[in-house]
Amino acid sequence: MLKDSKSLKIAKGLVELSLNEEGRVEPEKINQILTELKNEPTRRSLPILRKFLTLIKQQINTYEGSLEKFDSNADSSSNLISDNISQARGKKINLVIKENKSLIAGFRMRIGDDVYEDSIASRIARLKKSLT
Amino acid sequence: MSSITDLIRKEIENLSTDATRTNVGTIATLADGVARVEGLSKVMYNEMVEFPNNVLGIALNLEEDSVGCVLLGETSLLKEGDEARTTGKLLSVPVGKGLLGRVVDAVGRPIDEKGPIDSDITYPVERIAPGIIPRKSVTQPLQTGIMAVDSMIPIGRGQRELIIGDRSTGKTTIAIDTIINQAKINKKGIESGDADFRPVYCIYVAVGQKNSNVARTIKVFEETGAMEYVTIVSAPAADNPANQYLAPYAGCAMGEWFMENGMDALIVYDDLSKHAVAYRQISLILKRPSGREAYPGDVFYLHSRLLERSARLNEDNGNGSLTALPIIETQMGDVSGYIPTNVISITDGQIFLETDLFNKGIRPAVSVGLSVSRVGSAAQIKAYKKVAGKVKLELAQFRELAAFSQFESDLDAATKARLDRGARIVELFKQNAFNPVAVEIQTSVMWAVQNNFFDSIEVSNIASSVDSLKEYLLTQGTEVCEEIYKTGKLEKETEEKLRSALEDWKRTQS
Repeated sequence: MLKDSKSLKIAKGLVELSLNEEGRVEPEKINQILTELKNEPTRRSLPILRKFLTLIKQQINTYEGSLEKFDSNADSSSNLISDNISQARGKKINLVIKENKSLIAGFRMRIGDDVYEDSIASRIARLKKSLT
Repeated sequence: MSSITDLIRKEIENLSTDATRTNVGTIATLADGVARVEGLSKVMYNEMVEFPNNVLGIALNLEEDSVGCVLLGETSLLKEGDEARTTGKLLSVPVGKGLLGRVVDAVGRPIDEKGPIDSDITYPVERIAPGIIPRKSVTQPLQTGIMAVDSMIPIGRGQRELIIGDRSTGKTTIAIDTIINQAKINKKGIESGDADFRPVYCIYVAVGQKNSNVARTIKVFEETGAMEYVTIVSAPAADNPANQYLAPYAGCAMGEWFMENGMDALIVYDDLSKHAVAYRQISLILKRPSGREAYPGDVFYLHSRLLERSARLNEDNGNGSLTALPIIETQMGDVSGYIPTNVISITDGQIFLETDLFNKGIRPAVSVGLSVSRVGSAAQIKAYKKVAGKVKLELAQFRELAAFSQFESDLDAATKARLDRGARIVELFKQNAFNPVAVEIQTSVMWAVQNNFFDSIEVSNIASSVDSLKEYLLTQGTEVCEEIYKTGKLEKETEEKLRSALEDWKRTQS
């Protein structure tokens, strides 16, 4: 894809400015940046905003994830999974628990681009693949 | 029925029940067989990526914020926002003898409706070529069965010989003839029960060709009985460019299996011009910087890394070989084009076919001046070398003298003799398509020319006389031909027997 290294460099700088001491995105700081960009638009504003959005999403994905379960009613296993993954990654990970009936049993957790899965649905899919 | 339940039970027992970790991404854009995926932060270069509906892709562009994947399946089944996941595997194809007699696509899936491929071994499509240490010089001949080639531009096992020429000059025919000849030699060798006999297995890779042409080639192989030694890898013009780009590498992996297991194989890439065009298309869609003729900067590497995988291995590494016959189509006979010069510099010689010769009825239309084999002469059998050693020079001199003699009415005897001999050799080398000639017959015919057996025959009658001589040698002269085939030499005694056989034949002609 066409490289726009200058826009990327600026977007990276803006992301740095949007983070708090814990490395988490601060909505207030983002609002400030967006207002500035709106008040002083340049021909690069649009590509910068696109890259900024992508990078902010990536940043949020490092500490926020989703945990899909057959039954979303909280139980102790969700907290255990959350604690273990936070320990493994060396920082607090917030997990949003969602209900997914297609899993049949087990869980599916997504943090950033990584998906951890141990469900009956995935085992059936693996069996199906090995038989075809 | 019980076997099916047993199979399912076995699969269930072997099924891993561990939690899995995969790296995923989302399709951001989808166009022209290429998906730009956001995410996939841990994907490797050339790794297979899995999309919904069993569509596979290959990660070819790893960028800071996205990954460019070329898609190998039905792209209409995918949409923006679909999830893509890494597989941790490089693209692999089935290899082994189970592929012989089969027609497969660029990823090794059968397309001949003959059932699944009988092979449980796979090789990655992209592999590093053998280094210097496991290699050996070319020493064994690979007979094409085409007199003009075997005599003047001999090919050895492990060599890369380019077949180059304009459209419709007989490039594919030379490759098909060579494959048919390997099948003939294989059958004869296996029937003889010779323990040292090494059959040559063939792989024909069709890139960007019309399906009708591929069907015709398959029919020729079936009719000549060659199909049992051939694997056809087909990525026709209607296939997506990713498959056309991958097909030569897939075919090469299949050939490498034979080489690495101590066997000999021959691979034909028909053709690499269309392969380069498919790669250009992919590169432009991936928005890679383009260079000369809009080809990407790594178009030389595209072909060099493919052709370097053909080699002759030494005894410590199994003594196998992979011979490559890449084909390149030129425009208006221009060999100085970008892709032709690249491939000429990579290969160990080229067979150049001329449109003018083809139109004059000289077929195969091999240009003596522009064709060369850089290593093959070391592999030519002694008997053939003895009779055909000077023929290339004689023919080249003839072509030059023939051009000058048009302006000269009074020629000296030596020039006239050269012209007469040259005209006879030209006629001698005319050969019908799909009709390869055994090396012992070729040697005998060449010996007959060198010993003036054709001097009294009118030039216009040479072709029919050669046919009659071949027929005679196949029926009456089997003993002397067998001797040449077995020893590979032309001793004084053999020469006497050959002279006597030819005198017998000459008597039948008068």
